[in-house]
Amino acid sequence: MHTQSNTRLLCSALLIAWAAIGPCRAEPVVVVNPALASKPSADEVKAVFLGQATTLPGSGAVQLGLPKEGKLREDFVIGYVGKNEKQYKAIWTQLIFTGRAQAPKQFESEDELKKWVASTPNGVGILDSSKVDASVKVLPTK
Amino acid sequence: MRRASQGLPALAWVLVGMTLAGASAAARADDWSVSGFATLGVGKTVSGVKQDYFGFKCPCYIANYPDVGVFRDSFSLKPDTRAGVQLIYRPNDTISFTGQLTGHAANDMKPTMDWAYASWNLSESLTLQAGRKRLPLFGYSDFFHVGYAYPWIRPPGDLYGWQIVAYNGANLQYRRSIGSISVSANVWAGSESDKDNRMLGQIYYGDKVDEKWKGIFGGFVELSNDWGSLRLVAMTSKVDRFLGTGAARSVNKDGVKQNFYGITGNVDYGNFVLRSEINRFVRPDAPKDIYNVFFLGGGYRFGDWLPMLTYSRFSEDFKDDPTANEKHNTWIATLRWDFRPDTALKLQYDVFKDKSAFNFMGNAKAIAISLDHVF
Repeated sequence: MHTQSNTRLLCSALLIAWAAIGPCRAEPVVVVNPALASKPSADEVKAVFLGQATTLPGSGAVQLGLPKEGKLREDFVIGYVGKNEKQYKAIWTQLIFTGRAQAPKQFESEDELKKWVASTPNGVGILDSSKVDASVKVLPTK
Repeated sequence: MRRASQGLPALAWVLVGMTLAGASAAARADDWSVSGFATLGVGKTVSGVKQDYFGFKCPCYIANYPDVGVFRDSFSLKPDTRAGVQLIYRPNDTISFTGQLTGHAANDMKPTMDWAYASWNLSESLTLQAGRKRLPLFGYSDFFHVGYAYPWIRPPGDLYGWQIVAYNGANLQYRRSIGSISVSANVWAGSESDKDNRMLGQIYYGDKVDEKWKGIFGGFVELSNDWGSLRLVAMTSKVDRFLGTGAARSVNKDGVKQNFYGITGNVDYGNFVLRSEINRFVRPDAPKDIYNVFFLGGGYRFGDWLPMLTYSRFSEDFKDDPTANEKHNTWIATLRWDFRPDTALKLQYDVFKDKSAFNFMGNAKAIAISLDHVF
């Protein structure tokens, strides 16, 4: 809690100082294993999170990882996928029981998810932008 | 009559449970995954025609044709309650094996294997699958039992009244994203034989029906983006049908050709929800028979609540004998409440109008409530 509000304070201070947004505004980003060769478009990335595609161009089948619950997941599903959590779950339910797509792996914490992406060659996950480091690569979502 | 066999399904489900427990213990390895779904539903007719229909003591309302889930004038769990479990083994990124066992209370939860197939990813876009799968005939056919995935308690009965729901064979799946549109296509071929078809036997003939669909060949193309989807499907097959048993067994159909065409369109734009489907079924050779069916439903999401109104219609045009024409329509009012991330509560009121030329089920109204869960 304290750390979070401290970060926010720090960010606000930096924002005022630089009048810049960027890395300070914590937001969900799509991350992949650095070994993943694909350079997908934002639409192609979205199709994977909607279960409409199971591959990214040039990279073969990918595996999705998502936090089981929490703010990062909510912000991502609403803000990026454009669905509410219940709709998103219903979409995946259809895909899973008709064998059209592999269920996303669920992670209890962001750190676990990050570790999994960093160690899974075809892993695709989401992270808070503030947690991105060299162990993962950010994909375009805009 | 079928009571004697009730112990057996129970035993089978216990075995499934034990296998699953074992599998999930072993599922620490990434190559196994287990998931499941269940719907607990209860409902009754609130009005209907008093009659004896092939042994059904009506008033009756057929909620589910393939499983013969029929509401009567006292509350029952049988017409809508069902469950399924799915086990996938994925030894590597190229191959997987999938099995799904479902049971429906209308059939005393007798375990049914509608899915048991192997998948090979041939390339980025192509997947070859072989084994047993549900027929993806209508928009909701291949997840017909998975209540959590759709707005109603069960897909509209006027359309979803098919006797053959699964097949043995192979299919080739193609998927690709083009800009913001995702394309999914599937072609399949196979056959299916059901020695004692419940729907035809109990609802349409009042006799034992042996139904075979041979030379099934079909395909669909589905285009989707982040707010909608459009699916076009066509399928052809030949049907053999035998009625009765022993010396009384007779041929009803022998290699009769049947063709099916359908369009499904869905929209989830902001809070607006639209579900629609239109299908045409033709047996082109004399005696020519045509079924035209459609439904159209609209709703609006208020947070976790989704009220929806749907109209569906079934209309038969049997050229040789108009007195055998089956015609009916239904108004369906549904309220879905997603009160938990993995569970939905639904209330539904169905108003069924029977305009058949022969003495069918008759007008009926029915209420139902259900809990849909996925894990």
